[in-house]
Amino acid sequence: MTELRRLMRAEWIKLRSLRSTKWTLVALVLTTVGLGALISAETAAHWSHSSLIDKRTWDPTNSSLAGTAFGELAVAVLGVLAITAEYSSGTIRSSVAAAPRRTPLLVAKALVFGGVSLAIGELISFVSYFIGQSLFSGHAPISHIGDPGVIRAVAMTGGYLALVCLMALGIGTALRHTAGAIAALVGVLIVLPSVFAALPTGLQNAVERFMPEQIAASSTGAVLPEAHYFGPWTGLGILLLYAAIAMGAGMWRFTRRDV
Amino acid sequence: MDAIEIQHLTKKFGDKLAVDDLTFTVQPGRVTGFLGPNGAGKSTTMRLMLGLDRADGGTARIGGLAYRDLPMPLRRVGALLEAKALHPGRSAREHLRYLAASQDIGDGRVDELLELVGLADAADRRVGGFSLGMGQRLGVATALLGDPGVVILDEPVNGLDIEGVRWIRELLRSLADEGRTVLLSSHLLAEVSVTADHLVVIQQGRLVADCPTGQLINDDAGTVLVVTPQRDRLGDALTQAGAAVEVCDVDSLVVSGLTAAQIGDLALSARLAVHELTPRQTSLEEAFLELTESLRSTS
Repeated sequence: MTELRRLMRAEWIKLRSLRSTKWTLVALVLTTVGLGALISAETAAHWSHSSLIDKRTWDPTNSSLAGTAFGELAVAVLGVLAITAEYSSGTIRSSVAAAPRRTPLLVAKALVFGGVSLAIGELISFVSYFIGQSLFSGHAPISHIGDPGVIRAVAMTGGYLALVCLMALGIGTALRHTAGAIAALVGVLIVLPSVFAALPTGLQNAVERFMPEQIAASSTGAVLPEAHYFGPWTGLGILLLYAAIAMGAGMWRFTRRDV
Repeated sequence: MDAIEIQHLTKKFGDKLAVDDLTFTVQPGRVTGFLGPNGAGKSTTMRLMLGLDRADGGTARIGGLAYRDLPMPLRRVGALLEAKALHPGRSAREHLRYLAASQDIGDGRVDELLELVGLADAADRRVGGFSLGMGQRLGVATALLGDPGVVILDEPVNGLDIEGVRWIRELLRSLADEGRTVLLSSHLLAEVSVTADHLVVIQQGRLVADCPTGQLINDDAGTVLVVTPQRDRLGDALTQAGAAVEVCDVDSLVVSGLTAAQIGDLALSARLAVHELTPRQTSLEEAFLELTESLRSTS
């Protein structure tokens, strides 16, 4: 068996044997699907009273995926804990003693945690989509899975969650502390966008489109986003780049420092 | 079996030299005690052997290879480090299982080790609830998981009861008798002198002594250290004169039963050269304890 496969098996056993990871995954599913359904039900109930502009820009696909905004926090915590829990408990010493080259260890972690968050992300995105459409049905226009752009939008939502997990893993590896890494992620995902919202419109449009949250919002609708935002595929490319930068920074520090 | 070869090993933490140009070899087939006061650099040296810390100079090799170049390192080297290296939320079995998976070792070996260290009944309990002694037993199981030829244990008897201490001693003895390389650290000479065949003593990151245990704990005040280029001939002459002679090094002897003056006269009449003739007022054990005490009082 190759080293990478052995280390992936070890990571899989680690992931399954901790209650904290299991609960984070449960939280991910419940918040994303549950809150998404709640928001969809609310939207459906108030549809008849909503403004003309809201009705004109109505995107039933994107609206059914509103839970993602909460799920991304759970998946960020999962990615951070995947590595920082090893530092706080000392497990990292056992892990590195078993894989002293270190790079394969982090790659195995990224594949296992990225893979798990992708699988669960896709599952909950499709479930949320169908729940949302059934709740809108009879109250507001709905979309069908075969409509143009719908599968892309739903699948990219799951992909977005997996990429947030990898960004979190990279940042967690670079910073090594749970609180610091989660603060950094909340800053990038939530605080920065609201800071940008206070900027003058021209400047705001120029920088806001680079925020992961905004890219997710404009990639996960079946309707194409406004012109000053990135299109779905460019957005995906940028998110991949962010994940690669975060993982690269984590790898750089991980292979050089004492554990 | 593999030897551990340390050459000019150096490690700095900021400006402080934790390990200072350390050179020694740990041979297979015997228990080597790694001795020094707390803070002498023992744990750091062990972490450097395992590639957990990066050396600022020199090398630590195991069977001729740097640790990071061992393809499945836990099958060659097993280690129990002083600091905790496991997650409190995982069970003992799961801790061993993921390490086993990383080295392509079957789960059967995991059960075998849980049995060996006496944790079979506690195997599925979370290790967060383990006593210090149970934690050490799990640490020993971790070290032996890959049936390694080299076993490194940092203060393994900490937290063990008398029965546990005896168990560790017998285990280390049998590992060395099987031909394995066993390195055991401690800050207490009395503790390692029972088990170790050979001692490496460091202080402030530097080598102080590297010699057989018998030599270091020979506490007959009144022995004389003799350095001579004709070691064997002088040794025979002294033995014939009724002295007890212990070979210490290629060119030195430890002699008891004769005074330094008598040894000097005897060497002259036998026309043998003597380069050094030092009566030992205190044993090395006393010297070691004094060293430990003086460091403790200054820190």
